[in-house]
Amino acid sequence: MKHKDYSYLYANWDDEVRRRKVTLSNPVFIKGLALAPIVVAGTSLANGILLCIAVFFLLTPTRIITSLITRRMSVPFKTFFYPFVSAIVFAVVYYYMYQYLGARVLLLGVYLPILVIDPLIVKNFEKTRKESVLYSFINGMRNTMGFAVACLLVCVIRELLAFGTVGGIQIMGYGLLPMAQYSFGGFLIVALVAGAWSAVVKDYRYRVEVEAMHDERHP
Amino acid sequence: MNDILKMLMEFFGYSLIAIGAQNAIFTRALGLSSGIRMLNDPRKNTLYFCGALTVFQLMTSIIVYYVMPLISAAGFAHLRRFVLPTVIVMACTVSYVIVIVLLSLIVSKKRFKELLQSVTSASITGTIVGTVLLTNYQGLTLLQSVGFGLGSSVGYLLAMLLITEGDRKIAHDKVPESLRGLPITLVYISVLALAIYGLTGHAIAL
Amino acid sequence: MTSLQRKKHDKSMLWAIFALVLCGSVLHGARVWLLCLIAVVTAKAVDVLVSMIRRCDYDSTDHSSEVAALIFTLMLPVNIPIYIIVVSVGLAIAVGKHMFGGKDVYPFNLAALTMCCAAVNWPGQVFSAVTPFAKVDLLSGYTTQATLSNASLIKDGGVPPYGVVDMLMGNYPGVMGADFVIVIVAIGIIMILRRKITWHIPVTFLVTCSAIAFAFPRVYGFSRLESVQFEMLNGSVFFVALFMLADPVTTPKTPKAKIVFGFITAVLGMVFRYVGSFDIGTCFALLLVNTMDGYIERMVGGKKIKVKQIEDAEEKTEDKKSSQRRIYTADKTETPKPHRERIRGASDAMDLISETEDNIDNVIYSTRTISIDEILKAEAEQKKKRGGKK
Repeated sequence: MKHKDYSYLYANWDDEVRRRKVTLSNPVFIKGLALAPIVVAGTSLANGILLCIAVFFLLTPTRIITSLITRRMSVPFKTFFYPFVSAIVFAVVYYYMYQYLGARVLLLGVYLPILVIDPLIVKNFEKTRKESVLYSFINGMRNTMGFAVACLLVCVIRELLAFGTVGGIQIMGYGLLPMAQYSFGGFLIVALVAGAWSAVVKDYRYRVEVEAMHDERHP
Repeated sequence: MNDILKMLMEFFGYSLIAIGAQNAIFTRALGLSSGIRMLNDPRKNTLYFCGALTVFQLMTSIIVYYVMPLISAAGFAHLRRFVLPTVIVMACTVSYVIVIVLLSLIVSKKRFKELLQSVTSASITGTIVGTVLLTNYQGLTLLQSVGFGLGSSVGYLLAMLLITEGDRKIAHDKVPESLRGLPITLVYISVLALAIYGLTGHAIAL
Repeated sequence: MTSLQRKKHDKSMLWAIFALVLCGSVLHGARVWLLCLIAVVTAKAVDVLVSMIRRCDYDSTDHSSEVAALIFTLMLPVNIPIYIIVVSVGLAIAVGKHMFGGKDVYPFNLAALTMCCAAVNWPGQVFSAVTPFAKVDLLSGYTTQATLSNASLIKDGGVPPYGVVDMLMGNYPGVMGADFVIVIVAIGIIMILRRKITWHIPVTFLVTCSAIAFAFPRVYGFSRLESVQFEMLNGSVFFVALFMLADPVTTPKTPKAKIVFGFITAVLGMVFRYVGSFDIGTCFALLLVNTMDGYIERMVGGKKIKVKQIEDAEEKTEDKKSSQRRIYTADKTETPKPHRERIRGASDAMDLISETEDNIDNVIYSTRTISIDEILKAEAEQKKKRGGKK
């Protein structure tokens, strides 16, 4: 990357953080959202894919609908209106997921319905700024991508460590760390991946600053 | 007399299960995101938050318990599972309105302001929705639901007290920089969850 | 507890453990030495490796990891596979010690954490017991004389069929070093008399455990005193009391707090043993009580800690809300008398709710921006170091 780009990045760092939801401001690893489903239910790749499908059909539509309706709504109503909209969208999504994917959807128990009030889905009620539909769509998709990357990564690691498989395919002879299938193993693995993620983000930030400074000194 | 004793045993039995074996945070990770956010937000008081959570939990459990049969009676029994989250969100909203009205009548303006942040944050959380979903999926009776709900809130409070105390221990500069904040808090919670697992010894049913 | 005191404590612990390893090797053979060596090497290797990753100086005088690894190993049967020791010790030292900041600041007892990790991952192997003088393959640990441990037997409603003398001497199917009660008691008395450890926690713990075993016997058809005998001489109770609960880093500092700590650990430990799923309930209970030692110390010490919210001076330029943090002080702050102003109608309440909502802010946990000053400082220091070397 050219120094000029680093200078630009440094000058617009906050915008970049807001824009790069997958890497710089990952909703799971950096912001700590949607932890419950990943920690408890994210024990296998199959579960992870189901969670991602639910979030894909829930997050962006909820955000678009709420941005259309709540433009003139005062903040206290938003607190309850957003979860209400997300619950209604979820009812439709859950119904069709059940129709097409069958009973395996039910295996996730409360961790699929609980998404309706997860800050990942309804967090934007906290913002007083009004959103356009396009912005809602783009931001919703970025958040979905960020969640999907985090969720699938954790699920793959947990399945591999706990059972020695990935997506049901045997990779290792046995699970190296059977505790990965339990919730405390989930906490630990999410923490480790979040720590590594955070370290990479910080290193990148450091590099951006140093390169930008170098650019300022030697234009 | 025996019936009352039996009911009390049932009530406290479910409460104890919710506090220990089915702890909202350590076992089920319900309300974890809001709990960690509370640690980082000095404006929220843990005791106020958990007090409000308990009230909302009980009210929501009762409202949902009485509303769900109406949906079945209206001929939508096959849709119960799908509309349950919507019903819970509406019950939370009703509970919030009732609590706010009561608070505005009872407490002073200053105290109202103090309580409001915690009360609003506690009104719709993963703990409430998750617990009510669980009690409904497991088909618990009203007494069992309320007992489980109460235990869930108390368990959440105890867990938050332990995590807050842990927050003091891990808030120092010897912790690797990249782990400070969310990751180290999660590691701390994972060790506590491991300790709780020593009591239950089995994975939870989702 | 200063760093020097902790180091002295670790050294005396190593000598005490050496005595137990010696006893263990007499009853269970040379594999005890091999497993202890592997545990120590793993602990040391993880210490060095993490120090390299963290780019910080490795302290060769810190033996807390080795002590924890040895304590953990002595609680295992001699037929334990080697990889269990390597993975458990590696995980517990890396996560339980270094992630929390390393020596002197780790919040959980390392040996207990290692034991719990091994127990939940491989309960079948961890909770077996091997008959003394049994033939055990040095590398694989294969033996035909593995059986159920005494603690598991009691849990299942049985009674260990061994005499008191055998139980005191550790002469029954058991673990490598935690069953030699008489040796452990002797070591404990010597360490207390030589002031290497204080009596408060071990004595309170043992007395409370005995009292609970006496009051609530688990084995039916036997007297209360026999219940005390079964509970205390099995499940490594004396070993835990002396070696785990004496860890100076994770236990309270004042005598009163130590007594309360020992009492709570004993009560929870016995609850975990009676109700829980694992024989080593005390280790799980200890992890839980480790989180409470701050509360215990404040409760017993009589200090009232209040939470003050202040603004971080370093981050004043940033957003005020994100720069606020919790500071814990022991000062007493005077609270002004509340002025009771009532809420006037629904609109007033709605205004207040709106204000509150507007204040909610996104909390970002992990990413903290690095200031230019920090980079300049780091660069200047590096230059200084390079200049000094030249």
